Amino acid sequence: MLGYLFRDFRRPASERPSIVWWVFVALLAATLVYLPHQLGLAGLMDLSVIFVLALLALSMSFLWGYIGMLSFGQTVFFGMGGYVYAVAAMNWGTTTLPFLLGILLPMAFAVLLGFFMIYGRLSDIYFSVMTLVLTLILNKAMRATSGSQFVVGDVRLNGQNGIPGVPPLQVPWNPTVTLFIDHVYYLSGAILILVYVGLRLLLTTPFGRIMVGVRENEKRIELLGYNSRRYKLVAFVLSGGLAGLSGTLFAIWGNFVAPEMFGLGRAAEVIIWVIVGGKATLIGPIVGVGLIQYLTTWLGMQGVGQVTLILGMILIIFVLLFKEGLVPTVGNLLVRVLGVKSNDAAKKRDHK
Amino acid sequence: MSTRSETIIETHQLVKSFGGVQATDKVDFALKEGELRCVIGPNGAGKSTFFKLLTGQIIPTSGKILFAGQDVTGLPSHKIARLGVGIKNQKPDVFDGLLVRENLWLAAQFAHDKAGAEHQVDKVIDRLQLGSLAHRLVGELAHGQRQWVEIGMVMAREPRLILLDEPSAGMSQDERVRTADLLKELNRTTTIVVVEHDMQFIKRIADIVTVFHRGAILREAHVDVVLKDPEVRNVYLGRTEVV
Amino acid sequence: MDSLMIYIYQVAFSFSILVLISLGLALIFGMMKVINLAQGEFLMLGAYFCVLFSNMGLPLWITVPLAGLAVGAFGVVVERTVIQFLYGRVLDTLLATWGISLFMIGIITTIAGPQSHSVSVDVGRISVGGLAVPGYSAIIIAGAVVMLAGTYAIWRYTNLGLIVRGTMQNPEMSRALGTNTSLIYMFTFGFGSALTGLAGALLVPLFGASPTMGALYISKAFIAVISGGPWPLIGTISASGLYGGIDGVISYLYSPVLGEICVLLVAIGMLRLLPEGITGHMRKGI
Repeated sequence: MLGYLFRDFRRPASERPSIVWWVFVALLAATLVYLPHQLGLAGLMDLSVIFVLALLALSMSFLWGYIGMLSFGQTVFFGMGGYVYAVAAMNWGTTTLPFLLGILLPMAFAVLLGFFMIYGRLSDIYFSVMTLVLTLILNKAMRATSGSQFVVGDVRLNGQNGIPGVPPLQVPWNPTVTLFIDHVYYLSGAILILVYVGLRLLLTTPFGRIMVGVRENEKRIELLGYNSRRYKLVAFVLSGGLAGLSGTLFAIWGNFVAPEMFGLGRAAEVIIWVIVGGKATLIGPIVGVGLIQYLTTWLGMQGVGQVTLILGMILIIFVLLFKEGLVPTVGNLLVRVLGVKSNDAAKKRDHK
Repeated sequence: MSTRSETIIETHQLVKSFGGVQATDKVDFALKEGELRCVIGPNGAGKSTFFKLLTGQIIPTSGKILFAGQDVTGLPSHKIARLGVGIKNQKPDVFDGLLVRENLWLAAQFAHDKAGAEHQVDKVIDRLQLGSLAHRLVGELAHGQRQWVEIGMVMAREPRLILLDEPSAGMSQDERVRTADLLKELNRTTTIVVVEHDMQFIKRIADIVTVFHRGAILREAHVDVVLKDPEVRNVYLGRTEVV
Repeated sequence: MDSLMIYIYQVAFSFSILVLISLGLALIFGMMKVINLAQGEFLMLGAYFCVLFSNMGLPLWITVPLAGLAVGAFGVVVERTVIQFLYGRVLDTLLATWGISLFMIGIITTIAGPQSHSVSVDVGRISVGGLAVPGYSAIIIAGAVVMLAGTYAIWRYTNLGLIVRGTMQNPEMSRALGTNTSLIYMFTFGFGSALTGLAGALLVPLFGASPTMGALYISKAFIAVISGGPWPLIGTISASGLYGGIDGVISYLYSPVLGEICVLLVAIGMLRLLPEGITGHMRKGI
């Protein structure tokens, strides 16, 4: 059973996921509901931020693993989502519309960028580097907004210092009730599971299959009559919305936004989560976020000052030696140890 | 059968130059619907470039391409494909990381609804006898098998015009015969252009043969005439014993 | 007249900075299609070597070339231990060099601390169109010109340069002719790194040295290299000219941040028209 599950993690197929996988999802949901009985509020906060950042990691691995576009600029949409929510919510005193805007504006920005970069047929490497440059320059621009002339409505952008006091999310139908720490935990956990299931099921749709085709051979996809650039643009916009959602939730979680959300450090972290977990899988990046967050906290407690140094080494080692990432590597090992039969046999059984 | 006499593809003075070198030089080519045309010529004669021009993979320097009377010069390749042009490139050009079935499905779903696409995939798998490979990754298959998968993809699209660049390369003698028979069968419903080097293969399927040399059309005649033409033998065959 | 002089100076200065920070990167990219995301940290390392040698009492005209050599040697080590295993895997080289970048920031912070260091060079101020500017700017401009001319001379007039150009245009052919292309790549990576280290050292008197200084430069360097396209020298000169012009004028009139944003916007627009960069369609070049 575990073997089948890991195969599904390693190479999500275009067929519908097996019952084993659905059991796995149900177990995840049950754990999510059960954990608050075991953890204090501090523990819930730690877990919530992992859920939130896992959405950011998924936005990158979805784009990279499904359609083959390596975007270093997911933090642009992440930071944008956070700032849009913060500024809009503080100006209007309501949160439902700002929450939606935190997703929609990054998507609109992705459309604009995609028009230039994807429809301009930028090569893979240029696309990656330009998205990185974008993140660097937006970060710089946001840092430069400390003057009092940089105001949106009633809210000062505050440059380097960020915007404190971002309002908590209100219940849409009853604005007097705001979400507390445990509610944010449930909300972000539920969204993460939904997004995970949604992205997995997307693969079984024609759109998802064509995306994978673009990753495997873009020229062939075009020769079959598909407009590959349209699929790339849609994927880029979807992943932008996902990163925006993550940023919005991050602002809600911490009641705070700052230029670090766009920063080079965060951008590097996203890469490391995805590489360590396994880019072509969906569960991998989530595992990656958890592991790296845990590792950095642990290193901090051990008094290791330079976490960057270790993260850098991890990145180099994974690129050189474990290209697939942890989940596929461990999965392969498990499949071998558990002695699951070859692909063909398994497929036949799945069909029955 | 009046449509069968219509010209399906034609080019006028088609030129593609790469930095001063004319890869194709003022090519005037025309093909009637329903034909099966073979294109031969020495390496570097511009055959593959010509195919890439027809499918929009490269943009011509000058000249015109008409498909079924419509000017398609400069259209992106996916638009030309949608009009009904299918191509198998010289090197196997498939989705290596996907299953054989998924490869065919990507080709079939374009022209069909959900159930229709699955049915079409089954049909192609039957016809090419790929049943035992359907759930294998294409990247794991032998060269000849990957050629079959690519031919299968072109078939699954059901285009009006099929361009095949060396379909029998890397195949065993037995596979070549099967491919030739398959092409003849496909030709009952579809117009086909084949670039080939294998003379046995050409003799088995061809009627009219077009000879490319230095980017231009050197001869265009019945296969028996072309193979006896001294100039063709000179530029292309060199050694007479090949024929 | 005065304001014209000021603009000319601003543009020449921005152009020179761009050439300094991007030429090494452009050479490596043109030669082996590797974009070194640790470019900023190679600059940083050059700056630190400059500080180190200056503290030993050496004068600037010795410390700068020494720093270049040291970073070049470091580049060779990086190429042998990491990059050489990743040729042909373009995106993986991006990821691995990003790892190197993080690693270098971490290790320099550990050794030298997070604070900024500087080297003071007193060459006074000179007057350009009535504006007093640091005299050191003249050295920066001269440094950029020397670097371009030197690279051109090595490429054009030495046997090694010929081999390098041949390998760049057709690696298979060079291998068939008996060139050890692996060594050539190592040399090019080292040479590009040395140029970058040289640039980092030259910039110390103006901007100092700190572990995270790389981030200040890399966005412009990447934009210049990508817009320049595959031919390193022509590409760097034309892209630096274009963006140096924009950056110099806008930075002077408004603010450096706005200058950088304008550079980014122009770059995105330009890549829409020329996705392979300015020299992308050139079949011959240098």
